[in-house]
Amino acid sequence: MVNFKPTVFAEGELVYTDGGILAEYAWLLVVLPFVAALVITFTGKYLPLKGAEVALTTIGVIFLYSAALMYLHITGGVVNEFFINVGSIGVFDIEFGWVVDGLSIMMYFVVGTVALLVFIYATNYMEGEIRYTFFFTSLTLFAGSMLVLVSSPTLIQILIGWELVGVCSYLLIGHYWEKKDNSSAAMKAFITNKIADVGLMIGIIILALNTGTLRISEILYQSTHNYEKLSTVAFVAAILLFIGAMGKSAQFPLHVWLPDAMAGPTPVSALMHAATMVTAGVYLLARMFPFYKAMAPEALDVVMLFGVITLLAAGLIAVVQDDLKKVLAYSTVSQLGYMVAAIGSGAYTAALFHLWTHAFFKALLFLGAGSVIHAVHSNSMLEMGGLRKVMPKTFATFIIGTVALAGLPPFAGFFSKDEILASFNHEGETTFFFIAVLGAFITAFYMTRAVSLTFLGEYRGHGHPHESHNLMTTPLLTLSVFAIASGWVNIPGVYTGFTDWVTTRKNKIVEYHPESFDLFALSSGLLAGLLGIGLGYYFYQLQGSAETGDDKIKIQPIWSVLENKYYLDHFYFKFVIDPVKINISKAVDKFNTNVIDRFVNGFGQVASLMGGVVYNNFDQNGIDKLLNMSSTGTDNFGGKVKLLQTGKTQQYLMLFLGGVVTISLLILFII
Amino acid sequence: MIVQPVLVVAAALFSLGIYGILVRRNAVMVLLSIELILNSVNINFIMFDTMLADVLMQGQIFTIFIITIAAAEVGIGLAIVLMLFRNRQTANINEFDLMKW
Amino acid sequence: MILPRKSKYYVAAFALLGTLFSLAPLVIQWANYTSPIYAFENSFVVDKFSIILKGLFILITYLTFLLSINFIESDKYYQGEYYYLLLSSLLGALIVSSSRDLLTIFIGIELASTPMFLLSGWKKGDRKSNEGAIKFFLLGVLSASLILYGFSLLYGLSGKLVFSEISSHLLSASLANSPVVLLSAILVISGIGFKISVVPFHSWAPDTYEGAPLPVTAYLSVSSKATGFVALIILLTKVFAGSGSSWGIILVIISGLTMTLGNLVALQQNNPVRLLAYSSISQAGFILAPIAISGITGDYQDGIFASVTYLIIYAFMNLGAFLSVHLFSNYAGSTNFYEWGGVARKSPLAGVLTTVFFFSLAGIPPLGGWFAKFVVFRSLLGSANSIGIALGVVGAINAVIALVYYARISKVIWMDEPKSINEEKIFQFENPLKVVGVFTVLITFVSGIFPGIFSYLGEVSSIFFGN
Repeated sequence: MVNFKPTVFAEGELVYTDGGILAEYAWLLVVLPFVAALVITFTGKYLPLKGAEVALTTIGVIFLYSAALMYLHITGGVVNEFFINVGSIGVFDIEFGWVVDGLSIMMYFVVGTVALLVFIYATNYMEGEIRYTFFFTSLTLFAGSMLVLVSSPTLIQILIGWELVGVCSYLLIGHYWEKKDNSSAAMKAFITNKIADVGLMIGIIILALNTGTLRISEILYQSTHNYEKLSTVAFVAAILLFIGAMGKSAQFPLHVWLPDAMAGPTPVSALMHAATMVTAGVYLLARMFPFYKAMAPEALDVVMLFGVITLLAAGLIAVVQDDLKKVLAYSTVSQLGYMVAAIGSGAYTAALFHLWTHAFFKALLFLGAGSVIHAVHSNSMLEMGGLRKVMPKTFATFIIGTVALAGLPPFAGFFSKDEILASFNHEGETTFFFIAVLGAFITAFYMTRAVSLTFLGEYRGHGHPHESHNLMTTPLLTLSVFAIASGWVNIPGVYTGFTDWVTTRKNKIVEYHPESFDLFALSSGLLAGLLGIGLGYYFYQLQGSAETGDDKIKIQPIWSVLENKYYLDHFYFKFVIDPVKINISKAVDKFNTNVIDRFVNGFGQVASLMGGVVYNNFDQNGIDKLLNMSSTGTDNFGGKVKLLQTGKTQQYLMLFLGGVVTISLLILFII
Repeated sequence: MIVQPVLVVAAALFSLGIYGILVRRNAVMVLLSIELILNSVNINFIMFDTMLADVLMQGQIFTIFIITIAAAEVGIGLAIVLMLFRNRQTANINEFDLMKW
Repeated sequence: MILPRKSKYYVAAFALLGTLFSLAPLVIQWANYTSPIYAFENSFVVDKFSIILKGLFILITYLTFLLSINFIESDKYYQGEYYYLLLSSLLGALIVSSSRDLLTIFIGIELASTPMFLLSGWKKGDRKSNEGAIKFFLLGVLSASLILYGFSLLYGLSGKLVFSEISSHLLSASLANSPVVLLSAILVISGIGFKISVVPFHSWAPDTYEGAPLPVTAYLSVSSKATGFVALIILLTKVFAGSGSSWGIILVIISGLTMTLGNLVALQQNNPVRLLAYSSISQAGFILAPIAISGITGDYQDGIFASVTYLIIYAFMNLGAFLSVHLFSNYAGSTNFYEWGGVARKSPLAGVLTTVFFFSLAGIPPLGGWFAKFVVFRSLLGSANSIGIALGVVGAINAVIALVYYARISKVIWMDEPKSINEEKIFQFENPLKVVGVFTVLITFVSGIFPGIFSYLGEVSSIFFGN
C-alpha cells in the first residue's frame, strides 16, 4: 500500500536524503492528535488536569518530532513522500499520505512550536472556563487537521485538511457560544471559508482532470515540462486555487471573517488566526508555486494585486480599531497580504520567510494581548493604559513583538519584510513597492498606537490588573526569543540557510535570491518603520492621546470609512446576503405562492373556461349525473374558479402537468 | 384496421381524465378521472396489440396488469379518502391545505 | 396481523430477521458472480449493479424497521400491516433494480410506491397525515398513469416490451429522436420525476414528509427516491439511450432548478422535517446532475457511477439526519427547530450524530457527503462540456447556500439559548435507534475516509452498461 519510492525524480539541485525512519514514521504527526482528541473526549473528565495533560503530551511529542525532523533537514536535507492508495474514481487514484520536505518540515516545526507554547499558555488562561476539556479536544483536533493539511502530498488531502481546519475554527471561534455574537461569528467564518473552499475544490478537480493525477509533485512536474493539456486550463485553475487561498488566508475581499473570529478565546486566536490556520492559503500557493510560475504567470499578477490591496486596506483599518485583538487581527490580515503579494511577485522564499517570522511574533503579540485581557477583563484599549508598571513581563515581550512586527533590526520582522521589499524592488514593481513601504509605515504606526494605549500613560480601566501566572509568561518569553532570533536564519550575504531549507523540494523552485542586502529597500523599509513608530509615539504619547484614550487624528470621513471597514460588511449584507436571504428566497417563496399559484390559476381559469362549455352542455347533463352522486353545487362556475384559487392539492397537480407540458414544448419545439 | 380513431379516442379519454383531475374538487371524482387515464392507456395497449398482431399478446397482458393495479390503487385511494372524510367531514381536496409551501 | 397486540413485537423481530437473512442470497450471488444472469426472456437480470442496489435497499429497510420499532409501539398503530407494507415496498424496489422490461419495471415501481401511499397516512387520526397521504396518492397515481401512457407509446412503436429489443428497434428504425419517442421519454421522466421529487414534480414532498410518520418519511426520502433513480437510470440508458441529447438538456434544466429551488426554500423553513424535505429535493438535483450530463456527452458509465455513488452515501446520511430530527423533536416536543436551543446538551451523543449527519449533507470532509459532491463535480467538470461546467457552477453555489441551513441546525442545538430544556425530562434514545445512528455514522465516515470502497462501482456501472 505504502509507496516508498519517489515517483518523480527530485529536481532540486540540493543534496538530500530520504529521511530514513524519521520520515517513514512522520505519519505519527498526523495520527497522534486525532488519537489524543479521542482519548481526551472519553477520559478527559476523569483526569486530574481535565485532559490538558494528554493534549500537552501529544503536542510535546509532535514538537520534539518536528524538531528532530528539522535537525535532520538542516544537516542533510530531507525529501521524501509516501502514498496510501484508498481507491480510484474513474480517471485518477485517490491517495493520502505524507510528504517530508523543506516546506512541510518548516510548517511542522512552526505548528509544533507555536502549538506547544499556546497549549501551555492555555492551561492557565482557560482555567476555570466552561468546557475546559472540550476546548483541549478541539485544539488538539485543530493541530491534527493543520498537520493533515501541511503534510499532504495530494491535492485531495489538502482539500480535506482545508475543510477540517475550517470546522475546527468554527468550533473554537464559537467556544463561548452562549453569547450570540460569538456563534454568529463562527457561522460567518465557516460560510466565508466555504465559499472559498468550493473554489478550491473546483480548481482541484480541474487540475486533476487535466493531469490525470492528484499528486502534487506530479502536477508540478507536468507543469514545468510543458504538458499541453494543462496549459489550456492553467489560468482558471490557478485563479480557483487562489480563491481557496483567499478564504483561508483572509485576503481582501474575503477577509471579513478573520476580525470577527477574534470572538474566540485568545489562545485560539494566537494559534489559528495568527500563526497557523490563516497561513494555509500562503502554504497552498507556496506548495503550488512551480505550477504558478511555469503555467500561470498572469495569475501571479492577480495574486500580487490582491495581496497588495489587502496589506494596505487591512493596515488602514487596524489604525482605527479600539479593540486590542482586532488591531492584531487586521494586522494579521495585512501581514498575510505581504506574504501573498510576495508569492505573487515570485518571491517564494521571502513569502515563507515572512510566514515563519510572523508566526512567532504574531503569536507572541496575541498571547501578550491575551495576558492583558486576562488581567483587565476587557478587550477595549480605551479601558487599558499604564499596564507597563503592573505587567512588566507582558510589557517587555509585547514590545519585542511590536518591534519585530514594525520591522526594526535585529528583530525577525525586519529581515523578512526587507526581503519582500527587496523582491518587489527587484521585480520592478515600483508602485507596489511603495505601497508596501507605506504599509510598513502604517504597521509601525498602529502598533505604536496599540502599545501607547495599552501600556503607556495612566490606567483608565477598573479593577486591579496584575501580572499573569508563570504558565502564561513563560510562553511569552520563549516566543520573544523566537521573535528576535527567527529572522537570523536568512540574512543575505551572511547566512541564507532558510532559503535552502524551503527550496529543498522534489520540484525545483525558480526564483530570485538576493545575494546581499538591497540597500534602497532596506533603507525605505527601515525609514518607514521608524517614521511610523515616531509618529505614533508623537500622536499618542507626546500629544497625550493615550491619557484620554481618544484619538486626535480623527479625520472624519476617512475615519468613518475605516471604522466601518470600507462598508464591506454592509455591502455583503446589502447586496449579497440580504438579497439571497430575504429577496431571492422570499422571491422563490413568493414565486411558489404567487406566481405558480397565479399561473396555475390562470391555467385553471382557461381550463375551466373551456371546460365550462363542455361541462355545462355535456358533463352536467350527461355523464355527470351518472357519476357525480355526492357532489353538490358543481354548476356554480364562479365558485369553481374560487375554489381553485384557495385549494392546494389541485395546484400541485396543475404544477405537475404544467411541468410536463412545458418540458414537452421545450423538447419538441425548441431543442 | 381502424387504428387512428381508436387512438384518438384513447387520447381524448386521457385528456378528459387530465381535465377531470384538474377541475373536479371531490376526491372521489378525481380518483375516477385517474381511472379514465388508466383506461385510455388500456385502450392504447389493446389497440397496439391488435395493430401489431403481437403473437405474445404482450399488450393485452399488460392491460390485465394495469387493471389489477388500478383496482388496488382505487382501493387504497378510497381508504385514504374515507379516512379524510372521517376526520374532516369533507372530501373536497381543495380544503386540505393545512400544510402550505 | 393475527397476533394479539401484546405479542406484536414478534412481528418486528421476524421482519428484522427476515430482512437481514435476505442479505444472505445477495452475498452468495456476489461471491459466485461470473456474468449477468438473465431470466424470464431477458426481462429480469441479476448483475452486479442490481446486487449492490438490492443490498442498499435491504439495508435501508432494515434501518427503517429499527427506526420504527419504538415509534410504532408508542401509539395505536397497526403493527403487523406496517411491517408487511414496508416489506412489499422493499420487494418493489428489489424488482425495479433487476427489471429489464416495461412490464416488470412498472410492477416494481407500483409495488414500491403503492404501500407508501398507505404508510404516509398511517397516523390515522392526524389531519396532516391524511392530507399528506391524499396529496401523495393523487400525484402518485397521476405519475403512474403518465408513465404508463409513455410505455404504451413505446410498445406501439416497437411492439416489444423488453428493453434491449425496444432500443434496438428504435435504433434500426432510426426513431430515437422522433416526436413520439421523445414524448414518451418526457412522460416517463415526469412520472419518475415525481418519485425522485425534482422540480416541478416535487410539490407533494414537503407536505407528505411533514404529515407522514417519521420513519416512513425517512424511508420515502431515501428508499423511495433511490428506487426512482434506479428506474430512471435503467429506463434512460437502456431504452432512451439514443435520444440522450434531448433528455439530457431537459434533465440539466431540471437538475439546476431542483438544486436551487430546494435550497432557497429550505432556507426559509423552521420545521426540521420540511427543511429536510427541501434539502432532499435539492440533493436530488445533485444526484440527477451526472445522469443529465451523461445524456449530453453519451458517457453513461461515468454518469451512473457518480449518481449511484452519491445515492448510496446520501441514503445513509439522510437516514441519519432523520434519526436526529426524530430524537430532538421527540424531546423538545416542538416542530420548530429554532426552539431546540441547546438540546444537544441533554444528549451529547445525539448532538454529535446530528452534527455529523448535517455536516455530511453539507459536504464537509472527511464525511461521506464530501466525497459524493466531489464525484458529482468531477463528473460535471470532466464532461468537457460547457453545459456541464455551467451546471457545476450552479451546483457549487448551491453547495455554499446549503451549508447555511445545515450549519444552522447544528448551531441551534449546541449553541443557542436553552429554552425547551426541562431538567427532569429524560432524553429518549432507545437502543434500536442507537444502532441506526452508529451504523449510519460509520458508513458516513468510512465512505468519506476510504472512498476507495466505491471504486468498484466504476466497474459495476461498466458491467451494467456493457450488457
